Amino acid sequence: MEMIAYKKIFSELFSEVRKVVVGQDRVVEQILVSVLSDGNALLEGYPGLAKTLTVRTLAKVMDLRFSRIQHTPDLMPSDITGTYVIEEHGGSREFKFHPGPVFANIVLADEINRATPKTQSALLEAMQEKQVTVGNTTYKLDKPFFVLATQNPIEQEGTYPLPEAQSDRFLLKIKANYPTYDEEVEVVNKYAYEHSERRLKVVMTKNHLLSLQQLSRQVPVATDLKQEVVKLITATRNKKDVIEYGASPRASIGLIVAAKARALINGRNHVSSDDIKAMAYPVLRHRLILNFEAERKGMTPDDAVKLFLDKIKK
Amino acid sequence: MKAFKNAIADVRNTLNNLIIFDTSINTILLFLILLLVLSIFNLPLIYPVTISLIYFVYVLRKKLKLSKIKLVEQKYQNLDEKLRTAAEHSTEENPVVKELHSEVLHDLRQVEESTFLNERKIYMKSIGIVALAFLILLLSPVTFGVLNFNFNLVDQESQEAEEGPGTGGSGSSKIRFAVGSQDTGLKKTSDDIYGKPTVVKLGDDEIKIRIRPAGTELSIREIQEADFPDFSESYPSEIQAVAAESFEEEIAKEDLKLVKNYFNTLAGS
Repeated sequence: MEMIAYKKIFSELFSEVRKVVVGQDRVVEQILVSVLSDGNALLEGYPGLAKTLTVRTLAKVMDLRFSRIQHTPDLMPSDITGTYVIEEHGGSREFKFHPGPVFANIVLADEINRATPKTQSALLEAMQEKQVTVGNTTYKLDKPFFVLATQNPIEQEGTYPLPEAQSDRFLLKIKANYPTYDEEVEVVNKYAYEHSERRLKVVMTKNHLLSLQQLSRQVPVATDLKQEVVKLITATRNKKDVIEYGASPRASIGLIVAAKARALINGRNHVSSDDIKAMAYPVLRHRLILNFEAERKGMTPDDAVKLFLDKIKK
Repeated sequence: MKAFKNAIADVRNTLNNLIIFDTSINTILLFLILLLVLSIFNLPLIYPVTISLIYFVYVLRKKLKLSKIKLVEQKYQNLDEKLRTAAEHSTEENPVVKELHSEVLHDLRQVEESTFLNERKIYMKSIGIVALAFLILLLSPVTFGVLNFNFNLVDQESQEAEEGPGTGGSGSSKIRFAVGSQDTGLKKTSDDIYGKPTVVKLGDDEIKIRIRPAGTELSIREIQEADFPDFSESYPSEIQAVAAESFEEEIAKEDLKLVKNYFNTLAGS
């Protein structure tokens, strides 16, 4: 199949999602990048920005099993991974494993920062290892496996913010912004009158997605672009007047992989510098810890990424 | 994949040839300009040749080092980043790279050599070369001696002699510039045909003598019949010897005896 055919598939997927979600094309694209890169994403946005709806819709059009975990402070690891329950069969009792919501293809971990670190760790372990250990038994998770965790930038009281080491495991941190005026009008027109669920067409299957993940890794990158990426990442570690802690080499790998996936989505058979620039923000924004001086000046991680991109361009 | 590799090699070779051609044209132009300028100052041919050669080697080396792939990408935006990616992954074999190769191969067919040559510039340079060559030929008789830096040892020494001893003799005065250093088979004009000046000693003083060349030119118009001058005899008048008068001392008679005694005493002692 030619790249143009893949582009058609992704265009179709976007148009299917647009039937339900309005004005979140960039978020959808970045979620797809994360899925194709076999990574996980952290979605940050205010309530009511169709975060859950977007993920659910994507799961439908890709024919994937979707589950949602609403994180609360009393959520236990077993609530995520699953647990053994005693079942009675013909007079005999035996332990039977009841898989938790993590046994799905797309897991939406809503408000992950509300769960305790212990519960967060259970999910993060599943993300990293693609397997769950309950008791003495290890259960492999189904492929593809993708976690989309959401965070609310407001109401930080009573939350357990993800430690830097944990947030580094998310390939992307996607920001969901408010829709534009016109988009919001469209949202109102779409949802204020009808209540029926829209019929969505399955654009790709699970196997199809797995082969796309493999194909994404095969997209070639020019050496100078790879060097540009490494320069960018190392620059974040050396600019101490803005950054307290820079990005790790995992960010270099992540940026290249994400750029490859973006190229594939756009029907290109090579990575361009635009892919690198576009993906630098979601890859780096949760990996850069600004110092006090930068925060005092009101600088955001995105500003810092822009600063580094401009510096590399020169 | 082989076709793609050949295409990339072809692009590199073509661009290398174009670079060599362009640099050669520039070098010829530079050489002619230098030749024109330096001939005014009567400097030897070795200077423009050396400078032009250095320019040729330096520029060619610098330009050949440039990435030919990036040169193509600069001219053809549709190949930007794509061509270098494909070239770097020419040995890889997977569906994505394979498609990239065939896409780049298709795009490369639209690449024309003329894009990398500025025809107007080449035309202007060629005209410049021809014009300069003619100018040098036309000016060659005139330029000799416009600014003559041909130092002659004889002239220099005459200058030193005029200025007096101890004023000359700097290191630079030993440099000899040959006017139009063409080898005619004759003695070079800078050679001193009169030999070395001879130093003569007169008492304790050292005298420097220089032989000035006498005029040897012969004018036909000045040739006349030989003169036969009339030689008249002119002898001096006869010289006759006259007997000299003897000199007698007038001694008084009363002193004669005394004088006689005196001389006798002298003779006796």
